[in-house]
Amino acid sequence: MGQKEEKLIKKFRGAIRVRLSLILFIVLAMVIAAGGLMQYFYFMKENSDPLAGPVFVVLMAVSFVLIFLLMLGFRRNMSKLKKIASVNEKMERELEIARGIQMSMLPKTFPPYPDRDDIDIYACIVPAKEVGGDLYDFYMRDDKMFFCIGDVSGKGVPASLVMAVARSLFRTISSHEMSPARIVTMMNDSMSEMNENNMFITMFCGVLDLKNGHLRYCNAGHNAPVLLNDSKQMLPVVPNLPLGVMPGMVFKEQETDLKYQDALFLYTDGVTEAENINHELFGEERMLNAFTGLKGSRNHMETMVKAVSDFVGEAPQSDDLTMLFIRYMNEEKPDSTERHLLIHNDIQQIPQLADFIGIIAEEMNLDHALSMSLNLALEEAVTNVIMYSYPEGTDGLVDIEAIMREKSLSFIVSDSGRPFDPTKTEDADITLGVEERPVGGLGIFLVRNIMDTVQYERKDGKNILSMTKNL
Amino acid sequence: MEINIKTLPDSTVAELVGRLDTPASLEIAPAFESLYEKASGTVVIDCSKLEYISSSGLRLFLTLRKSASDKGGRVIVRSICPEIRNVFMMTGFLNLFQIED
Repeated sequence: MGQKEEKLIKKFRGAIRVRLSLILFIVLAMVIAAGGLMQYFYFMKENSDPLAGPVFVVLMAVSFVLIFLLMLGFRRNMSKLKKIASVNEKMERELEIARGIQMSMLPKTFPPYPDRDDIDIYACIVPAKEVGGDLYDFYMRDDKMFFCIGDVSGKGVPASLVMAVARSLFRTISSHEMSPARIVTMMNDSMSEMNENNMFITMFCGVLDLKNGHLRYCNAGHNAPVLLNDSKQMLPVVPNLPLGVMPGMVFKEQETDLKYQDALFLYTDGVTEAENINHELFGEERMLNAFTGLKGSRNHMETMVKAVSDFVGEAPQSDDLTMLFIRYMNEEKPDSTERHLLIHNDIQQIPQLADFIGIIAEEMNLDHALSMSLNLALEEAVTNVIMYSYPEGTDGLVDIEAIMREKSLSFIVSDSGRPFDPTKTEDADITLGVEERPVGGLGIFLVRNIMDTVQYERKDGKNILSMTKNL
Repeated sequence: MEINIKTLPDSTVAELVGRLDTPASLEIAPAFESLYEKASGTVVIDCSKLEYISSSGLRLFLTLRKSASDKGGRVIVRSICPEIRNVFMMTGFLNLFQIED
């Protein structure tokens, strides 16, 4: 319930209290006055005053009228009180419905994928008030698990509304985007535009490929999740800003590979900032210590809930408590791994490609000459996108995916710019002399010469250039 | 990316240091274009410290070469590393430039 409604009801109750005490005061005054008048009347009667009869009638009449008026007033106040009670009840009922709707937005059937043995997932949410601003969500698309956890600033109805918006944006945007950074970037643009109340939301968004355990993630000001593999530690995260603070921000994406039985524990600050009666916080250390041994997600979750509630004891729950536990359970050895890079359509971001190739070359053990050629091919492909897919002055992103296999390396460069097929451009004629040789046209020529296959397709409003080098 | 231009009695030497990628080419383009005026004589591009080149860098080389051809001068590309030599070969630049070790 909002503070405004609470204030209003308090005000009503105050007014009724004043009225009731006024009525009590009038009744008391009347009883005293009636006593006095009755004594006066007896005095008149004893002295055989001829006015005694009429005075009695008048007194009785006045008493009846007053009693009638009093009863009328009392009834009116009672009906007002009843009305407030029913408004109160209605609001509580509506909040309960709201909570029902809110909870129905979150997946709560566990295990959610009984037919799959490559994922073990469990989640729970305990709101501090009737409705809260925490959310989690997950679903499966193309053998990839899309998931998020978030915490809206503030509490109650306003937070729950923002939470509902965030959840539906997450579903809508992630239905056609594979990159967590792009999902978060688009959610941020959308939420910043309509953010007149300066509400913001911290969020961690991830996409786990269940074929190879590759995890792409983007953190928007949220707490770093716990990574449980051979040891337990916080997953390294770039903090970024929360969603809704500033439109046009590009969020940094990160990636890692999960092995069989590695797990991720995501939570909101309701866990780490759970307070006991001495105002001590549960904290990261107690949270990490609560993980012991290798267990199923449900078991881990119940252990954590118990650890928090044992710690909190009698203290009231101060914040929403939300947790999501994801365990990768695919035993098969992956035949490929991926790396991703997301850049703005800005030539100045081209040097990032060299670092990206450096990481790949190291992981694949490529020699210097080959990695330089690959760098060149990738730079030409990406420069083409920046120069020709996006008209000057427009803002856009270029998504670069590297797929590493034992005997090949592929790059997939995609963008949402206007249709542009670089493979259609004519090859440079390298036999021409200095005078006849055109200055341009070398880019795609280099790509074709370095890579073994180069393919273009336009799909879902995107230019997708795929190129593979056999190793 | 750096470009150091030295004027010697018989030639102009431009030393390229670092990675000549697309943004670097844009950055050094003004300095590089100043070489066009010297293209009637001998211009030496010292590549001993050049680590990488992309098509935008190659375009700068080619434009200089065309300028020299117009003005009757010559362009010598000196000390290119094997990786860049490979790019020169792929693009037919080995035939357009005088390459020196």
